[in-house]
Amino acid sequence: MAYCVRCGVELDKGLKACPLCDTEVLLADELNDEQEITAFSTRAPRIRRPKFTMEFSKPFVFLISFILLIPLLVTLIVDFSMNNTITWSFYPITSLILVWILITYPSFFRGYSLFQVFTVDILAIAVFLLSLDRYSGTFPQWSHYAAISLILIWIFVAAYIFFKNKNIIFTILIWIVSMAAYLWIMSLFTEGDWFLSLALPLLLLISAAVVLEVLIIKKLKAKKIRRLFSLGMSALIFTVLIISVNVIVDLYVFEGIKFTWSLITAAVLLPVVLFLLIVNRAPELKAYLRKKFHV
Amino acid sequence: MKENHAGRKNEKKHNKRVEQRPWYRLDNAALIYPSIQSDRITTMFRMSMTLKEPVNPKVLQKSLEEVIVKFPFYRVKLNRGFFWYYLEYNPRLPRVEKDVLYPLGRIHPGFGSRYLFRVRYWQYTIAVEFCHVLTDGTGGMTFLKALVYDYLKRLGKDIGDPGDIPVDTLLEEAAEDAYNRFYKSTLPLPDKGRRAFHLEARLLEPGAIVINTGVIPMEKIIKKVKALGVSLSTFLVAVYIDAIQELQDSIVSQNHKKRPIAIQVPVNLRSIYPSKTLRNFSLFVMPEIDPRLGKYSFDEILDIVRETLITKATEKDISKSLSRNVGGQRNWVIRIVPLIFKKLLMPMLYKNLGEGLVSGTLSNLGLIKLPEGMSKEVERVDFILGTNPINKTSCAVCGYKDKLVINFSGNTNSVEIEKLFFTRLIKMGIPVKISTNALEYYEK
Repeated sequence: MAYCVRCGVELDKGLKACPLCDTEVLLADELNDEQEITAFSTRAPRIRRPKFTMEFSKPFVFLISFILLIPLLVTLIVDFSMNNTITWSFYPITSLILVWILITYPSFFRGYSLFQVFTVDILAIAVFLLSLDRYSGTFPQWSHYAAISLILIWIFVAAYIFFKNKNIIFTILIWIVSMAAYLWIMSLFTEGDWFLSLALPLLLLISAAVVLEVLIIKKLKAKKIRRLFSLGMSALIFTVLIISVNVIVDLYVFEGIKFTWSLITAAVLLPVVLFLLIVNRAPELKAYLRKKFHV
Repeated sequence: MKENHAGRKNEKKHNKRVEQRPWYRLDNAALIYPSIQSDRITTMFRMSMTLKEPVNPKVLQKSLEEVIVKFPFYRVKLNRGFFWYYLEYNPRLPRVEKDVLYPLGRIHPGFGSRYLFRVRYWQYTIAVEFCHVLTDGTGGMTFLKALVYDYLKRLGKDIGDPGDIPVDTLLEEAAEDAYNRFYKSTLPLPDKGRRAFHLEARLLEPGAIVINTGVIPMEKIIKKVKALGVSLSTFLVAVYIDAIQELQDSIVSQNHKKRPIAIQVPVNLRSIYPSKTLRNFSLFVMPEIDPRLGKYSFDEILDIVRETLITKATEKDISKSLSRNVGGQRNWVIRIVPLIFKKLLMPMLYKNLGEGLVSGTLSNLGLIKLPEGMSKEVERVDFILGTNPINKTSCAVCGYKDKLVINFSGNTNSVEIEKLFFTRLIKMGIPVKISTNALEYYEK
């Protein structure tokens, strides 16, 4: 029998310190392996989360189908009795059908995945928008922009879902490439000359900055670099980015380089960067600052 | 519920292919739990019996399959209706599982097919962990007793007469919502409480729980309690309040900034109202001191607690809060609000009318009595409450044979209240034996 010298409680066999006051036990009872009884298992609990289910039960799908059927029939009958053909009711009817597909799709198939449902939903919305555009007159008026944007969203999410456990840089690269492709197609649609001279360089610059930033955060999390250093480097990257953006925009707009606003930003940021990097190297200065400005 | 039952029978006549599954409304106390449940507010409690021999999981599984049939109202899963949650028959069989380091983990209601309780085994121990949606301590203990009785019988032990342990399928009366039966519509509202003092400490990661167990020889503590002329619950609650008072005094120096210290003491309403329900049927009494008025001596606290536990745990006083709770459930305006909006309201109620008003919970199951044959096989009975992020620590007490087991469970690394609580008992000459589930104390 061991007792805690501070609290006076008797301690369970095998305890090396008092659980109440953390005082070390002087002559702890040793456990003999044969009769080791512990109150709880040492097994770590498995955290079980529910699968994200979008599957409505069959009776619910049945219910919702009928609820949607009523407005569908009413609009159809009203439209038909007034115009003898389908005119404006096309819009509410396609909308209702879209809602129905979004709600019921997961219930049709067994073993669906979140990704499948997402794909079908994006596809349904894209088709819906295209059909609206088609019905309202000259065909590709606006819906092709929306459809392509939806596809871009799909690629973003798909890349994340498929590669989330792999390298995050790889996911970001896919995002950048798809973004570039998206901008290129957009420039073709709008017949603009902005893709090569403006959009692509800006995108590449921002992507490079993002990738560098991710690398810095990774290093910081692994505690390979210090916080001040990473802050300084981030500010430096930001400064370079600002100046380059200024250069690219100037080249596109004025066809020549006129440093204007970026220099002001750089004038603020560069001394800060310098200061941070110096403080990072000088522990005495760091200690002084911590003392003077502690909160 | 009765109408529902009769309707079921009629329908069976007409259409035998349709298998009707029983369903239950949540009882009044359970209504709030599914909406406030989270990784930190697990709304679980655990009871366990330690046997003389290692547990055989295969036999235990057989027993569980047998016993669950007798408790049809526990053989349910949680489902979402449009206005309320409800419990629905679960066609699967429950499985026993090995115990884990951090018991009382949340049972996620999102698992449509999952039970709202677990049966766990570990070395010599059989434990059940119940979600409060299903039942309270009395129901849980009845289930555990029935399970262990069946298990021991299966092993061929001579355990004799079951006594008050249910061995046949329980009747509909055990599944009633007793709150609704004893509701009176015209009672005044109970007093509003004030926000109480809470331990401030950093929370552990969700799911982690620190359990500090103190085992006390029954005769020593009974002797002390008798000398003071109070009941055991009164004594323990007074010690608990006194410990928290010292904790608050050490943190807050100015009296006017101190918050009231109130302890939530569950009262088993089956002893007040004639009901045999095995679903939730308990409410709380809250002994309270107000440290703004100065430091209370232990005797003063003892008087307050004794007074409160005697005068507030009466039919008249309890019926006030019972009627307030059931009145809310019966209010038409509240009933026709869809569940998704109700869910937003519930956490507020929980914080402002529930845990926010108390500094801790002390639940005393009392002396567990087992039939004579069975008590030869059972060494020890434990009772542990789940934690919540507001109170952070709670205390569960149960006595069995010659031991009183006090389990403190917390979701922080702070054991300040436990320390103050147990050292108080030591100073009064009551020996305490401490163990913990925090492994680092064994490995140092």
